[in-house]
Amino acid sequence: MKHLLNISITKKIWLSLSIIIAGYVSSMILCITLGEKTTSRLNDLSEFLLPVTLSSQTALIQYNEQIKRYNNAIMTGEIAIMASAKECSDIVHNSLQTILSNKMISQKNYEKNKQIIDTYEQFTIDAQTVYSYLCKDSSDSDEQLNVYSEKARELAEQSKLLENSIKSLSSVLAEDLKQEFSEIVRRTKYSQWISMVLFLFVVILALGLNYFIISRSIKKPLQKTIDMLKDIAQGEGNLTARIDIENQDEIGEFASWFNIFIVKLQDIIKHLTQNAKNLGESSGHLTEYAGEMIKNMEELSSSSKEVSTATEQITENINSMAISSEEMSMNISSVSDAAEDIVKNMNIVTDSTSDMNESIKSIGAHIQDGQQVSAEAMDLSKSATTNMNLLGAAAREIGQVTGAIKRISVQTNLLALNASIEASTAGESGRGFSVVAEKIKQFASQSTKSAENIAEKINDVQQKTQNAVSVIENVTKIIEKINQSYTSISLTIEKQIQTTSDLSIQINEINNGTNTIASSIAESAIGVNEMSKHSGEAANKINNFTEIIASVRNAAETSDQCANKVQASASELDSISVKLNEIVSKFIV
Amino acid sequence: MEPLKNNNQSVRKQFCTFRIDRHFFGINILDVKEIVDHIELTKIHHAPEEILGFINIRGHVHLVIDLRLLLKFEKKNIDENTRIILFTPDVGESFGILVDQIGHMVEVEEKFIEYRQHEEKQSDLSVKRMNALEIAACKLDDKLLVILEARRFLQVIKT
Repeated sequence: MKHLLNISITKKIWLSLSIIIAGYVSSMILCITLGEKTTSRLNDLSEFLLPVTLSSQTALIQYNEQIKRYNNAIMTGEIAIMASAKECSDIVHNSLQTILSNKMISQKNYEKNKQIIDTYEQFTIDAQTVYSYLCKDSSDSDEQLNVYSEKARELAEQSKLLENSIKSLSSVLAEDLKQEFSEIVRRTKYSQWISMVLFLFVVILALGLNYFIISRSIKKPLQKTIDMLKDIAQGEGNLTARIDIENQDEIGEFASWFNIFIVKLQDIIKHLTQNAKNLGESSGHLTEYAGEMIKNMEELSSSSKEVSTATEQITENINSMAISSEEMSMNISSVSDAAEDIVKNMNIVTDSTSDMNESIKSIGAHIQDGQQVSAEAMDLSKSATTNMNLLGAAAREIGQVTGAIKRISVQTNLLALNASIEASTAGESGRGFSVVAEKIKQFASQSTKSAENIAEKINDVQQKTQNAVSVIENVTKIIEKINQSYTSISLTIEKQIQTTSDLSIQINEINNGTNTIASSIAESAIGVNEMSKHSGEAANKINNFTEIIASVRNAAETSDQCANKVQASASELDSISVKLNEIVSKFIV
Repeated sequence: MEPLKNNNQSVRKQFCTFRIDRHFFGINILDVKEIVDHIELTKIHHAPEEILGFINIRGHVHLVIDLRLLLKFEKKNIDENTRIILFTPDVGESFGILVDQIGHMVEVEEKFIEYRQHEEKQSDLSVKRMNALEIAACKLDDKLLVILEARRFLQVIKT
């Protein structure tokens, strides 16, 4: 087995092919041998059994012919026919002998045949004698004729028996032949089946062997190698793994060489890992140092910044102080100017307030006059309203009177109508009265019309009176408002007078105070000027100091930048080493 | 009826006119006794619908007929223009008619009056009454004056 696995792949393939061919050849040989057997049996059959059967058939036919010829001979009485019958009997005899001589015939048939031959020989001899006698002469004595007839009858019976036995023999032989044929057919079928099964068996066996060879000795080692390569190639390369060398074929050789390559690669990666680790540590140290340097620089920078800002603030303060003191001195001088102006103005104000006081007093007097006038106007408007109301009432009364006039005129009209009726009843004598009645009627209608006119006018008057009353009411309201305004004005004016007098007193006091302030301000202006000079000097000195600190700070910032760069480089280096570590750590060494 | 000025001249007739609804009616002035505007009626129960009641004029009692109902107009309440025309005793037992408004005296020449042909065969009662009451029509300048016969008012009610 081991030896088998160690042969080369080409040989393995040849081996498997030869197994298939060998299986096929063996199955072919089997088939051929089986065919040979059948052929020999068929040969036997054609050589022995078939002639025997044919002979028996011939014997039967010839026997029948012989009997027929005997019968013909007796009927015709010709000796020649008897001779031909004899020929037939010879043929029968030969045929039977042929059967007997055959080696394939069974013991039972042999015995039977022998018996038949004996019987037949006896029968032929008897028949020849009897039938030739019967044929030759029929003039013999009756006694003899009877004997021969008796014999012929016996012969006929015997011939029948013989025929039967020959028939049975022939049929037995035919049966044998048939059996033999069926036997051959059966065997042929059997051999076919056997050969098929064998063929299948051989094919399966060959396939199994081939599968075993290919899978075990070719595919499995190849698969192992491929897996190993895949493992290394897909990143998580396990460099410690090795391909097992099972066979000494091409795959085995390939695997051993690959293993050597992997060992070398493993060494390299190991070295690389060690170096990457060292690099990482170094870069870490570098980063730390750079960090510290940056921290220190930052501290320095911030301190100098603080100092610088502080001095700047001081400078600013001093500057602003100087500026303020200058401004103050200017302001104070302007204030002193203003104070002088104020003193002047105050004098003017004092004069003006006394003038104002007088004019306000005269306004108060006028307002009081106005108040009185408006009160009178109000009284007048009230009396106008009452008069108007009276006028309205009078107009209404007049309206009532016109109603009465209307009624009277209607009555007059009726009266005139009745009068005219009376007049017409009176006939010609009432004619003058009728004219008078007509006149009265006309007057009545005229007075009705006049009364209606008056009523209309009265309505108009009433309407207008009402309008006038409402107008007067409005006027009254306005006057009341004016009156109220006057009252409030007069109150205000009184207050104003009071205030103005107070004001003039206070203004006098202010005037005095202002004078004092002006002199004090002039004094303080001198002091402020001196202060402004001193603060200017201080500001200059502080500015010099600030410049020095600024230069220190610049230096610190520059070195801080350098340190930052160093740190950046270190961190870059660090990241590179980390990456390298990552790459290397993917391999298991 | 009577000649007023000359016999050979045209005969003139005088009518007392009044209104019911928008229609203009006239009655011979010789049948009229008086026109009354003071209307105080005393109702007569179980009397026909057209008879409004009694009225007392200076101690004389008169029967009052509503001409509106008699002429088959709709009933109307008494207002300030409503008057009663009283008739002379020649016309019949003392009675008067209630009218919507009284008009003037109208004088018409006889030849302008057209008298109606009376047809008593009318079966409808209202038409019959109309024919009985209206005796003539007279064309005035601007309107038509229907002349009623005062003597037939009571007859119509009785029928």
